[in-house]
Amino acid sequence: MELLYKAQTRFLFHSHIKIKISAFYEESIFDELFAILEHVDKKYNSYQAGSYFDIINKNSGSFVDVDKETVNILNQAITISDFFNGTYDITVMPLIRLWGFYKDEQRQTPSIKEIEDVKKLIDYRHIEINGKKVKIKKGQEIITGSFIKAYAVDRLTERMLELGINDAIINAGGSTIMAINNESHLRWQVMVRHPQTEEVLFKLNIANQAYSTSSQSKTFVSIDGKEYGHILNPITGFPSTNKQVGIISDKCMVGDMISTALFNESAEGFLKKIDLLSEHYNIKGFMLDSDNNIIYTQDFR
Amino acid sequence: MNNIVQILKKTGLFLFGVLLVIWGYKVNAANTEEKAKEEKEKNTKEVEHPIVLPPADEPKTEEQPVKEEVKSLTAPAKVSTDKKKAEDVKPKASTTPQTKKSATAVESKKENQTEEKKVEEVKQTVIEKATPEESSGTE
Repeated sequence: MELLYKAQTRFLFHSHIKIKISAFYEESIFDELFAILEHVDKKYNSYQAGSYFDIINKNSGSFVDVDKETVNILNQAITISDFFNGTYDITVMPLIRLWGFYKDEQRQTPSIKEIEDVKKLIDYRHIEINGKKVKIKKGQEIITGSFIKAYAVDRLTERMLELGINDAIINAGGSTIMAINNESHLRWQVMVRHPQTEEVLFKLNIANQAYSTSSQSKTFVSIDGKEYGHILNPITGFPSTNKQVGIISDKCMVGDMISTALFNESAEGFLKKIDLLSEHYNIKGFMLDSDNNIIYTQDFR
Repeated sequence: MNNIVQILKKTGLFLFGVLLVIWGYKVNAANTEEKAKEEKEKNTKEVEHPIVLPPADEPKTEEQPVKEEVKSLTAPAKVSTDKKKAEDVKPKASTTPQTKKSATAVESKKENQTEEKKVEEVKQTVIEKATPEESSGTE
């Protein structure tokens, strides 16, 4: 018997988010499910005026009252940043502005001096957490773009499981996909394509796992005819040249953070870091480098 | 004659009894149905309440990113196809630096996003099979 599903797509976090659940459920349940994503968007998205991270940014240099969830999010981001020695850093926002990836603030290659000046503001170790109070250094700015959508999907997944929804898939803009499976539907398939040629690179089968991907072949700024990808290396101050990274993990937020962090690695560094991360997280993945070489962990296919 | 009247009376009473029983069943069924509906509505409301978690009412306006969903330590960048479209629609004078083109692309993207948002508000549900999902790094 072929399984049927009800699917609804809405525009949140500036991407199309699709929730697909068993056709037995009533349509009204979608409102409840999307409300969870909207809640996270309003309260924890640094781009949303009035969110906790927005308030922290606007009051840089002073302690700000936050909730427990904000502290948990920050602690997870700091853990990943520590592991990558700062090649993943959520205080990278000033560098993003400098390169012109935020609104239309600049459209020319920044000078080395400009980059060096801005880099002084980028250091997650200046994030101070004291109970439910958070402070960042004056002039610093946190960006949640690398994980907040994934965090919202994690929260949504928890709620769905509480409601007994155990056969579903959430596709958040194609870059974060969460598969929920039960005995009657053992796995979901995810197609991974080359970002430029559209050729299918992998057909993944995932079950109760997340697939996260970072790619910049189609997301870049064009300055003087040269294309610069949007994923920046906070240490060098320059965009990474890799093309795509895909990670399978247990939680979307961890997967999204790690896929972004690994974007700044070389092929050797990629495999080495995954190996080390595997001691703490259940992950596997692949990388498509600037020369179109595909590097992947043994168990990825 | 009296016997016939008696029989008719008894038959009438019997039929009246039968009608009463049928009517009673119907009323009972209607009541049960109504109760079930009320309970269902009540349950739905109960489920919905804890989900709506309104944070501080802040209008989301100026701080919107161009493409904040791009998962990275990054801000949104433009998709090349969008740029092309924007250039087609609003060609710039040759003296205009390329950077201006990018800005146009951003505006175009924003307009598209607003339109998309409006479309999404319809909240259309579709029936699908367990088809493979496409991953993409563009959103």
